[in-house]
Amino acid sequence: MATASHWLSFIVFLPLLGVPALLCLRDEDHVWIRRVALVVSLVEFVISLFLLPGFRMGQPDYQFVEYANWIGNAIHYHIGIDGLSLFLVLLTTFLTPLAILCSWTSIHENVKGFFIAILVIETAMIGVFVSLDLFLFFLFWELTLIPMYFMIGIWGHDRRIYAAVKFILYTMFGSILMLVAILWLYNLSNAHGTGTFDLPTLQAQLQHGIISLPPTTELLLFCAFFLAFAIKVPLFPFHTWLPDAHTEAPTAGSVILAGVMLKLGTYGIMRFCLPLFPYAAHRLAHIIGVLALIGIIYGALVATIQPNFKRLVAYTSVSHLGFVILGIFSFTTISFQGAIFQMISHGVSTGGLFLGLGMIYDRRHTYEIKEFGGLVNPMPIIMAFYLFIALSSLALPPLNGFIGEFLILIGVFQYHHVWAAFASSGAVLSAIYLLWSYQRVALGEVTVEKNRSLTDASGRERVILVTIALAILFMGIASPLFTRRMEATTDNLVRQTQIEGARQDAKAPPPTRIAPPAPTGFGAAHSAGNRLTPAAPAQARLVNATTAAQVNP
Amino acid sequence: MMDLVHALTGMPVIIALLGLLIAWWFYIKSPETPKKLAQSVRGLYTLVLHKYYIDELYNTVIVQPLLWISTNVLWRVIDEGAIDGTVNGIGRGMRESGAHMRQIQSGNARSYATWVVIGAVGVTVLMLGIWEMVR
Repeated sequence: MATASHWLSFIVFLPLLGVPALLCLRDEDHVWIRRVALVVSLVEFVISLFLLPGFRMGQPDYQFVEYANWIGNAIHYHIGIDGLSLFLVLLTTFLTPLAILCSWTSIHENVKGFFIAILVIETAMIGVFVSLDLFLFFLFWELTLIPMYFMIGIWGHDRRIYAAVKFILYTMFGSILMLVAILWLYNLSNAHGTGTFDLPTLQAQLQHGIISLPPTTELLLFCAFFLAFAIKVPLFPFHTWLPDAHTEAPTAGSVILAGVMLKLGTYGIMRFCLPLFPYAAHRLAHIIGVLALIGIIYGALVATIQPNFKRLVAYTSVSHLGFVILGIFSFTTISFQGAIFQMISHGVSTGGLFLGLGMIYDRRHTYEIKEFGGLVNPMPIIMAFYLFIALSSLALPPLNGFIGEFLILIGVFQYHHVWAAFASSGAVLSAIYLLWSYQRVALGEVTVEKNRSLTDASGRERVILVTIALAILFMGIASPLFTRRMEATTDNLVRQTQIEGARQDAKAPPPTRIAPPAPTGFGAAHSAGNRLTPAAPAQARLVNATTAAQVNP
Repeated sequence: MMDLVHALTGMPVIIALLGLLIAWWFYIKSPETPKKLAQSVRGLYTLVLHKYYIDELYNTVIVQPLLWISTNVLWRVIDEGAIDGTVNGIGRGMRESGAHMRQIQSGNARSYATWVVIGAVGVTVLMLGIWEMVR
């Protein structure tokens, strides 16, 4: 691997390389357009797997780092991954081929444009997960919106224009505030030396008090970042774009939206909000935790009574992502690990639910639950796999959903008993909406005559379903393979968000509730101590990072 | 102490044996007894037949109210009414204020001159104000 030091860049931009290849094909050549898109995304998945052997466990610093000057002295092309972004990158490369496969026959118009949009989204999403420069991050963040806007607006269902506009306005509103916060941070660092958009540098400057933030400023900056991410997650009450966008998007769009795009929000909170503004995070943790709890229960209740099957599954995301937010704002190693695991697991499970729904839609062209009933009779394979995926989504042990939810609940319980009690009710409610809807759709006699003649899964659909089911089972059984690689990062995050003694700021009295001492993670070696370890100065860190990149195989 | 243990363990055994006896009585000895019993104590019979109406009670007290609240309060009022209403309302407000604002652009050159003067005065006042603040 001669290009080892540019491995990550290669992963980021490979899908984009597929775009000119697709452009060279004739518009009507649907077969080859699909094939090229699939091959590109499969190659992308395979090469992204090579990140795993190269990834060193127990290493809290960023790995596969690439660093170059880009615009002026302030903006750098700085990318790298750690235990948080590694699996999100893999999730993206895993789901994209499935999204392409599920659009094989259901997309008839503008086929070329559709697959180009998917590939551009893939590059943009991976870019978001690996960017270590705020400017670069914002660029990729915005880049995810445009193809998704077209995907919903062009290839969506009946109310697609409304849903697409709502989606983009909601998200843009949040990202504009984030842009202001990014510029503000840059100016703050500019006032104390050379201004930079570099995340590790800014983080070190904040931790060492080189940039000192008055509590109000920190709160405002935190809120500006957080709002952008909260809309994306989505946290109650910023969620109403989600049911519309998910329901109106084509199947591939829903898979990408629910599978990966929602995690851009939770990822952003863990990458930026917590380590940069730990005081503000602790000050607002109570409000955010309550909103997350409302989201868990509210999303579940509203999902239960939806007459539209796809809308039902869309609302479950509000509930499940509430768990992730709750885990993040419990500030414990185990809940951080649970949050990351739940992000991945939700991506696979809910992505799988949407893939199953897409197969039903391809046959019946409706999502109304009353149009179904007894579907297990004409299509046993699809409905059996759908049940399996639904069970993983409602956190049945030993499937993947259980691990994430369980880790989160353990962590939340350490931080706040009452939260854990309310959150657990979400687990019960998820059983209600998923099993009740499954009962009405799949079990019993066929109630609508049209459904009697539906065909069961084709070979292509079986590949999709089996892949998802295997991933679900693997994540459930082999969860230590995942959590072990997150440990160093989550331990580090716990240290960074620990606020006692981290920064003596006379004007900012520490909030009454302080984070509990870092518990040992899921099988983690006991960390030496819970005090803030003096991080290397900013410049030294950069040097470390760049040398690490060269050493990296 | 042993007596208590015997009483506690003995009781279920006796009850189980009683059950066996009753079952033998109802199903083998005289199968017509249950029907007669059902007729003589009709109230008790229907109560037991409907499992003490626990399912019905649960359905009326918990399930239906929860579904009703979820549909009519959480979904219709909060989700579609309050949140979406606000979001869509802002959009509608923008469109409507835009529709009013464009009346200014009347195509009448003399009215434009007036607007230019008003604008110039406004900008001047604003600049002076900012200048004062900065100084």
